[in-house]
Amino acid sequence: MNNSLFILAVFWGVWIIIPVLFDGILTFLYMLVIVFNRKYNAIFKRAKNRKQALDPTQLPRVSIIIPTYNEEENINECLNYLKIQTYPQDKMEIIVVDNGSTDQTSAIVKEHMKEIWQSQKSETGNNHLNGKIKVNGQTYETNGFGGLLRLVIRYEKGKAKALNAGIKLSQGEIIINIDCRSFLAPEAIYNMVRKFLDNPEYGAATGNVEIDWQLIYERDHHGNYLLDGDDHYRPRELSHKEKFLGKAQFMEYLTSFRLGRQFQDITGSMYTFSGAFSAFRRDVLLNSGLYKSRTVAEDTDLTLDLQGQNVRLGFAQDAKAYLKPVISFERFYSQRIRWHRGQIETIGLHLDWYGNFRKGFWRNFWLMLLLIIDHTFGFPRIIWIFMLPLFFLFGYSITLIVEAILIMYAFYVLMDFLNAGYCYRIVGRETREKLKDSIQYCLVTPFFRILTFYFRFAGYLEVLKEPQAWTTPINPVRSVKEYQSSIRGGYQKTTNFGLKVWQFVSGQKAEAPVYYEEKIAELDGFGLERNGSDPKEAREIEIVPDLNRENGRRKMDGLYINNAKNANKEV
Amino acid sequence: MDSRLLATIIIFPIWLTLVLVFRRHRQWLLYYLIAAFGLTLQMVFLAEHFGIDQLLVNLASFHVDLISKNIFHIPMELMSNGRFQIILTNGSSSILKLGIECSAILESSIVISLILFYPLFNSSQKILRAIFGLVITYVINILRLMIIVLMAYKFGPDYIFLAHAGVARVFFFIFELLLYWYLMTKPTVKSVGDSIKDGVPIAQAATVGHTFQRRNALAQVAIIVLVVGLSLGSFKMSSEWHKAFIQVAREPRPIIYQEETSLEPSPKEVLGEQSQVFDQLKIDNLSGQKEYIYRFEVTDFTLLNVYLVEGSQPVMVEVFLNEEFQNRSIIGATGEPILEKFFFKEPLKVLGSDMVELRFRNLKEVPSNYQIKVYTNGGTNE
Repeated sequence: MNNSLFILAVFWGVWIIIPVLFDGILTFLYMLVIVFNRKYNAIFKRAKNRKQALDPTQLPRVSIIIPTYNEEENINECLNYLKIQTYPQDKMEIIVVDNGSTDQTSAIVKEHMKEIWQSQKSETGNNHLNGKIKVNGQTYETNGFGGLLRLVIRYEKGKAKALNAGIKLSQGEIIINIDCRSFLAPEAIYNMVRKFLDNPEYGAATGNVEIDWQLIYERDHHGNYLLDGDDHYRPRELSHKEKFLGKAQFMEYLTSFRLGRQFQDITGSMYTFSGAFSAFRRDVLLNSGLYKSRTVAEDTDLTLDLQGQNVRLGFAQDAKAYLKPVISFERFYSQRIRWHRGQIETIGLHLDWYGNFRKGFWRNFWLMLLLIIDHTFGFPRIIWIFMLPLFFLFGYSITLIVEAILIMYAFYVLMDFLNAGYCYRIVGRETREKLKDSIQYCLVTPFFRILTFYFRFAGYLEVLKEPQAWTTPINPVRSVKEYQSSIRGGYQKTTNFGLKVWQFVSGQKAEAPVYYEEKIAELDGFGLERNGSDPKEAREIEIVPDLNRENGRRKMDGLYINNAKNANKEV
Repeated sequence: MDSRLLATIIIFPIWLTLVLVFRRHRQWLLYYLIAAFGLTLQMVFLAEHFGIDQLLVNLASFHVDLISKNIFHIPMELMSNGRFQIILTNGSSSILKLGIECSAILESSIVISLILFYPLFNSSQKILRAIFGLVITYVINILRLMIIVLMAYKFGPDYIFLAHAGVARVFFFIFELLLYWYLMTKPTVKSVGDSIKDGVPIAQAATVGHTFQRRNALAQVAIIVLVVGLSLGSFKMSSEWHKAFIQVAREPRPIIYQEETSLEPSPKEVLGEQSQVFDQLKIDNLSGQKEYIYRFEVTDFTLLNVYLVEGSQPVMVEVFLNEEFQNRSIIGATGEPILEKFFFKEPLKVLGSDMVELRFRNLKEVPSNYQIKVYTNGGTNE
């Protein structure tokens, strides 16, 4: 190889390549450990016979807690997905904790409750509930639910407090926390409980969260969902930008869960439970001191708290939750800011700087490694990405620089392809289909990496300068949008004026066009950014379902459930 | 005007405006990115304009020379402009040239800019940390160069490339990372954690419990005195320290990054074991002429090459054999620093009683300092 090219790529590019290489080596290590662990279990531990069904009467009671704030877009579907669970529904208790939403969230939940009481299909039409849910090509009826649905309305800020309120009210032996935007696969809760029953040593476990871009549905100009031939919501055709974000996130989540979390399960180094789907044994959760609102990453905070108490934390790979990808740069930016702000905050609280070798050496080791890869590597890298293309100023030829950049790009792409290839081997059928569908996006994931890198860095800077907020008020993407729209507004004014003149001259009258803009609510606000609500006035209202309903047996996915009897006992 | 100075003068107001605007609008990512990147670029441009990079190279070569001689006892000679001649273990000698890359000017600028604009520190901490970062980067760089020199000395010139782009680079990378960990990551995470635990603002938490705070001023001063003393002491120890500050070329020069370490072949490698100096020319009194002709008759040698002595000005040479043009070569015209070097890759083949004519062309009168050696495989002019 040309020496100068080699020097350019290796000598200077080292600041860009090594961090990626490090990621690659770690991924490789993950793969090795996972494969080794599987073989080891197969040979020495006689893997448990997982085909055997659990005895439905022996299953523990499960409480599912959903904190919400202005989630009218998602709460309906989230509850529908819970209604099609294969877990015995009389042992399920859903607690929706609403932080005083200003939209229809609580009304929708109440409608669901009413429907459960009345055990009949809603008449409000497709906007509320069309009665059918399609998951992985299978259609499920969602008319009824045999469990308990409770709604708590609170007037206090904070997701952590909402979760805690739900936990305090819950009665299940296993407490599952999910996000309003995570849609559980039908077997998710069953498999999650199975993880606990099969492995008594686990105190808590996180679910396998997978991105599904087909959950973004098409809607008409008035915001109503459109239905396909099967009377089901129709997935929306995504734009190129949305596909890029969605599929890159799919790959990212896949690696992070199927490799990262699995590895962390084996080595006992779980860094964060996904807020989208995690489960705890009741005593473990109550002993941990619950969620704390001191950081913006209450899930990571709790995970590290549990780790400090030497609770075994696991990953339930069969318990699947589907998540809508974040498909606008604006919200993607806020999400990453929150994650990495939270990362610094929680590690700052939990890292033992003068590492206690006997107690928490490995915990410290993994946290420090994470910091080095994410934070320390970032500093030189942030400049080198821009410095390298400018090397023609220092005497390198431009062709040489282009060649060097291409080499780096090829390196990134190769790594992503290897990752995807390995994931393809270990995942199930429907994920394989998705992987096939998005494999070509490996060619653009290097750009996604750079994007996430800069957004992550923005989070690291914001934690130093800005007060805590769930959705950061400072958003360059939004600023650019506002700037653009202000320009466009000026343009529109001019054209409107011209139109009026033309109408006046010609005597025509044009109808104003109807625009439908997808409402981007502050979906994960949890009231944090709202002002004016006085904590002193905070109060909790609990709404429990009407218990004087008929006893009824309903066929639900092969399980006959006697719902009302148990509900009566519980309250 | 030098293009780099011009570029800096143009960049500076734009950069400053952008930095202030983004700071005002609290767009921290853009602020930090543009501030640090722009400052790096300007620092590198200015360093090149004022020759600081060359100074750093000279300084680094001086320290490498000092360490190699006194600690590792490598037979070597320090020349000006960041070059040394090493006598390798196999007996041959090689000249190792330190390029601008070896000054670590880019890395130092990046460390300083990243620290100076990091929003965590107050100004006194920033300055102390920047000095610390600069000194440590310099020390790491010297150690890195030592790895290259040692590998060249022990394993031969073939390993220089591996040492340079591989081993030494990884070494440098690891230690720079430790530096960043200590200067940036650790105070960040610690201050954020402390501020949440104690319920105080981060700016307040950041000034507690760090090496770089005012409380430890005495220790800081002691360390600075120690560093300065060590560097002064190192100059005192060596009789050749003045070579570190010799600068030959003051004219603007493009910087050649392609070849950081190149080994010039020794006369023995080019002309065989019997090589010796046929004649040594010093052209310093031109009195108006633009060409200098040197003629001699071949006696008992068959190969011939012309050698440019260090410190000479760039010159073009044409070789005529029995009035017939043979070859032409030029050294130094591309603006690279002038090295001791043979004009021709392949030595000229001559026969006995041939008449050789060397014509040195395009000579400049003021100041004139042309030094050339003629090497043969046996036979001198005496």
